[in-house]
Amino acid sequence: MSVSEKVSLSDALSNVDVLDELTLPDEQPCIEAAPCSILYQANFDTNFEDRNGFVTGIAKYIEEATVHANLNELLEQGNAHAVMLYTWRCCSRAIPQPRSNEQPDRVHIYERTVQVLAPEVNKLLQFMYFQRKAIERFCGEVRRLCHAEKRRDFVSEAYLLTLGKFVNMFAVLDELKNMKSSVKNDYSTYRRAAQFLKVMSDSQSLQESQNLSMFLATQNKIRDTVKDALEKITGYEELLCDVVNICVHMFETKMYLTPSEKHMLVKVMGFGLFLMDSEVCNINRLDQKKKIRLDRIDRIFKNLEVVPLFGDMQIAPFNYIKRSKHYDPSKWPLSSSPSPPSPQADLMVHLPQIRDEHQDYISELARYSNEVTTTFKEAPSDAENRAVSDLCLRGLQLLSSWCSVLTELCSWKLLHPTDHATNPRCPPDAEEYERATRYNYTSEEKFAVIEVVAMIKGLQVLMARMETVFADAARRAIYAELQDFVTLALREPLRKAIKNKKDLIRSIIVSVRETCGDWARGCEPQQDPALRGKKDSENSFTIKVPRRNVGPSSTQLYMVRTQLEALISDKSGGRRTLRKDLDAGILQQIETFHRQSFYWTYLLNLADSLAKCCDLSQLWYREFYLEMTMGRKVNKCTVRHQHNEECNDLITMEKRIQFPIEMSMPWILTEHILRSKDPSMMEYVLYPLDLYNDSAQYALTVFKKQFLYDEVEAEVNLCFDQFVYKLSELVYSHYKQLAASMLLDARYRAECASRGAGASPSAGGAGRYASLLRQRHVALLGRHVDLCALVAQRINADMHRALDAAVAKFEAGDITGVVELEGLIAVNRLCHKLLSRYLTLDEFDAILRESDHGVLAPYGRITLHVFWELNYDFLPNYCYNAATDRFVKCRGIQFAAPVVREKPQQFGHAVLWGSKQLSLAYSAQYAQYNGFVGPQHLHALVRLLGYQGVSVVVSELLGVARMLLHGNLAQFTRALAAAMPRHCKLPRYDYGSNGVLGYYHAQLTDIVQYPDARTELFHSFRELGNIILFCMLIEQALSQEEVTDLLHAAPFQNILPRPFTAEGEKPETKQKRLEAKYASLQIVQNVEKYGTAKQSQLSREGDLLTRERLCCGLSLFSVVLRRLKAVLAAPAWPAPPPSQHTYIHTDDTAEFHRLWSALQFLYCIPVGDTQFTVEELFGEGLHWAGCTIIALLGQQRRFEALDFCYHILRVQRVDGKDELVKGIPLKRMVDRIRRFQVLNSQIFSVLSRHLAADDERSGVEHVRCFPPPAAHHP
Amino acid sequence: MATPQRETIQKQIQQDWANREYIEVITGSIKKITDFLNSFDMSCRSRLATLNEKLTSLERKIDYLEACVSITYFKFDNKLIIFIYIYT
Repeated sequence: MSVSEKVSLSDALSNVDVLDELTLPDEQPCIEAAPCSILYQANFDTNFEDRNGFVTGIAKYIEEATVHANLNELLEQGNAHAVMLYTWRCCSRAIPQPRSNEQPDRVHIYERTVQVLAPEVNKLLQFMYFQRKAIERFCGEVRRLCHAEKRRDFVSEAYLLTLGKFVNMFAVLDELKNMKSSVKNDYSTYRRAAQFLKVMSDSQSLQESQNLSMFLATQNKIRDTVKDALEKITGYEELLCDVVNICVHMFETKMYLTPSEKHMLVKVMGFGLFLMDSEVCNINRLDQKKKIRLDRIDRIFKNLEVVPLFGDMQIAPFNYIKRSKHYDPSKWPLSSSPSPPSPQADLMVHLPQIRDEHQDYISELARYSNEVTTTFKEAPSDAENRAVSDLCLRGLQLLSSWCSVLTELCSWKLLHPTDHATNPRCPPDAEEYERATRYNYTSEEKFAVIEVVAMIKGLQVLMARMETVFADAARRAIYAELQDFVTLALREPLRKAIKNKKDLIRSIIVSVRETCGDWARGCEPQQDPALRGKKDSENSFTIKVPRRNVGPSSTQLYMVRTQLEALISDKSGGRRTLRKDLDAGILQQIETFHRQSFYWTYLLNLADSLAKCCDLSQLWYREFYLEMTMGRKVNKCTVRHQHNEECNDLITMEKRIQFPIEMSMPWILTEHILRSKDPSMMEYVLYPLDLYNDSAQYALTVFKKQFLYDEVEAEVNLCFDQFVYKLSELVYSHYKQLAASMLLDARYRAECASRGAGASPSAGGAGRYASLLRQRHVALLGRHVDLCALVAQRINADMHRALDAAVAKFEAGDITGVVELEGLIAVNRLCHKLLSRYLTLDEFDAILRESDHGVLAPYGRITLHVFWELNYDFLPNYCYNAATDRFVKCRGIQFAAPVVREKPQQFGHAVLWGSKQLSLAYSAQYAQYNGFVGPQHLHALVRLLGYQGVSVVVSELLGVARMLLHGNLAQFTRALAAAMPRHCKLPRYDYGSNGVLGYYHAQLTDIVQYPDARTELFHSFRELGNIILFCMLIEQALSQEEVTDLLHAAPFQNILPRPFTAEGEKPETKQKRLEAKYASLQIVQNVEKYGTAKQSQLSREGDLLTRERLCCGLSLFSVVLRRLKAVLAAPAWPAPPPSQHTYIHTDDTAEFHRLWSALQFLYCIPVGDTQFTVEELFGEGLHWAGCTIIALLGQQRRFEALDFCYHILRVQRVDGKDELVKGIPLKRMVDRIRRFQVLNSQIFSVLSRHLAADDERSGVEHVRCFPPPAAHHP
Repeated sequence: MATPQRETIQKQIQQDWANREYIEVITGSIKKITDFLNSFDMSCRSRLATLNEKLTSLERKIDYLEACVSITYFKFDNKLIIFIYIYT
């Protein structure tokens, strides 16, 4: 649109209306105070600048308006001076002082001092002038109004209130001046420097300086000056009586809106009474004369013992009374007695009511706001506008009342600090401010404060959202009411006044009507019979009252209200009051109008009023307390002992310009929620943080002090970091605990809980973090923080740390820890899944691989540690037992050197299982898996390592096996083969079993007595056997896992179990029905039906991969056997010379199986009761090793036919002898042989199954051809 | 008593009412625009935050994949030869 193009107003307005129709989704739940990037507030208060426009009004009130305007300006200046004093920070402490008069640079120091301090001192000078001028002006006004002629005249409510504000201002300025000792110090520093440099040379400035110095140094200077000046005016007490009375009246009828106005009224009562009570005037006597009502004021003072004076400065208004001359406690029964304490001290009394009010109001507002958003009305009726504007006013009043409850509580607490005696949590040497804030609230109170803050801020958001609607309705309602009242309601009294010739009343009513009448034709209709004092005739005269969307201007409103007040006032300058000339009905009407119109100013400045009603900024300010500590913290001797004089040396002063965040109210509240972890409070956690926004806003717009804003900002930076840190910790540990509890067996969990271990999922609390975790723009000091992202970032890091810890924990233990590792990973995986609902985290598998260090290497820490453990602990130390299907350590004997592992690190509970109780429960559970390696461990291993890890481990194990075979075992085999007898027969049955045993014992004596057999040789065989067993068992575990996978996948692949069919039923129909039932599960068909071509192709391929996963029947163990066979075929293995297809000499002992027979004879010899048995020492690994070698060498049949032990067994079966042969009990020996024979044959059958499967798969038909035997016999 | 002067003043006051209504309408509209801008701001922030989160997540995934895949390339016989190792 070009600039020159004209846009009509209606177009522009409709453009604005169209904005409403744009949808602006914001997905975050609203749990924080109103965020606003742009603040727009229009202020139409003219401060009576336009008074001359209303010349038709009564001149007296236009004059008064001029006075008001001036007084308001003075009040504003006074406020500026109060801000200056309150925010004064000591400069002189930072300025170096010349140490002696000889110091060469002292002139320079003084010059700079003067230069730096001059502008500040100038402010003080201005302050002194101001207070002089203000007192003069105030007393001038009082003198004028107390003049004998004027005294009985009517003084308007607005006028009295302004005088009250002056009284308040004097009280505030005086207290501030008394409190700020740094002002005096700074000034004396300046004066010293200035006198040295002789800056003030002329007598006048010297005099001024002296005056200022006196002014600053004299306590209560302003107060006393005002009092002295007032006492010179005769009858001043009556005017002050009026001021005090109007305050009492307004306080009691709630004619105020903001908390500060309320507190101002109370302060004026106190200070006003103090000013009145003097030599000439006794307030008690005034009370007797019913000029004032001390009993009512007494009640007010009791209800509000402490009111905020300025910032964190408080004042007890009753103290003014106590200090007054004629103080009589009997007149103040409530306030003078300490008990019961003031209701303001206890928030819990107010809380139920506040909750009710909040609930009621919120529901009404919600109903109304739904109505507004769902229905559209062209022009709402007067009654509707009125209702909405009433609703709005009620909201403002509620907000203001809650806000004042809070500020009053805080004020009371600040004036009544706790100590060690009343609150044991408070340390005896706690600082003053700490005692007033940190330790001064109970947990309940803190929660109540948080709740009220949340209600205030929450309602503020709701009302701010409807601000345009409210403001619109309020303007329309006010306009309608004002015009109706002025043009219609005042018509009748005007007629009567004209008729009865009441000129004064007539002129007042006419001027009211002329001041604000908005006549349809631009001026009052002259034909109105009422103007001639006549009643309406038959052809009735009607006045059409227009409707507009605008309220009266501030001056207009003042004029109307004040003039009407003059009509109804019961004080009228000696003459009889005008009330008597008016009808009771109309009097009532005017009074109602007058009362209601009081609030119009607030409604017309809605945005401003709303902000003021919700302003909790003063909860942060602590200039008063900072001033008290003088920027120092006293560090005392902290050692617990009887303190003596030496301890005084330890007292140090620490320089400090701010209090730590632990003493700051917003942070105390925030931290309280985070510490208590109360789920019902968790969603309020952002509201206390919003107090910083209030304070910062106040620092910028009211105090206008950069350093205060900087301090708020610094504190917020610190707090918010802590907040995010603590919140993420809370969230993480909550979900960790939740996950850990969910994975715990339900009955076990219940048992734990009943024993007080508290592992139930509710132990961690319900935890309402969902809406907190969806906060994407939290407004803080004009910045918007993505809380969700910050928390996600931290929790991501936590996830990494947790998995790292899980792996590290595994690395610090033996291989049995693999089950616990899997459990830890499962808990973390579930925790990740739970959190991923709210936060964007890295993929779990990626995190796991990263913690496993498996991203940059083909295998990770887990695989490496598994292999390490297998090699250094499992193979050397464990023995296999087929009956239990477990590997166990030999009791009491350590075969290999003790294993040195990494030192176990200490991890927090949150990193591992979530909490101490859960850690206990889980460690008890996983303790069951220690001490053995069984199927559970192997399954866990398989799941953790995956195909790749298993293959790495197995191939490494094969390497170990080769080393064993080619190293130790080859060596031993060679050595033992040499020790074998050249020939060893199978003796005939005739010798009897005892004879056979004796023969073999004699033949094999070298072997039996071979010293290293039990200590080394068998261990080497056992290790080999362990490798073989491990490979076999891990394959079993692997295939079980695979089958489970496939079974899980089956229903999705249209693989259904064959249904049961009764007789006469066709299985095909049942099958069809089942297929139809599960049709929706079948992935391929569904993807083909609904997906794209590419998707369907992908799904088909995936399906194929799953289907054919096992169909080629690859067997890991067969491969292992094949590899071992290759190892045995290598030249490093001592094999007898190849003797293919030659005769076998049954007596020959060159082959391995003969050696093994000898070894078997050795371990079949029973041992004594005290010795370790072979089974205990070596388990079944020994047999597996021997049998595997025999089977792989193809000597199985020969072994079975020719074995020594088997022969003894066969013979013994025949003769059934039992005797001691060379110390060997024959029967027991035979029993052992039988047992091992069974075991051997089992092993052989397993092996042959694998070997046969292997052969089959090679696809070559084995045709055995027997070439003719070569002559090889000697 | 309806002097012409009074009439002028009344007319002026009436004009003042009209003017102030006009100002109120404009002020109200500015307020509406402000409200719109504020909620537009919130909405944008929310959406940008979501977008930012997605991008961050993607970036991290790429980092991860880059770490998984290490690429070596060199020139041989005037041809660029690229080796990609994938540890999976």
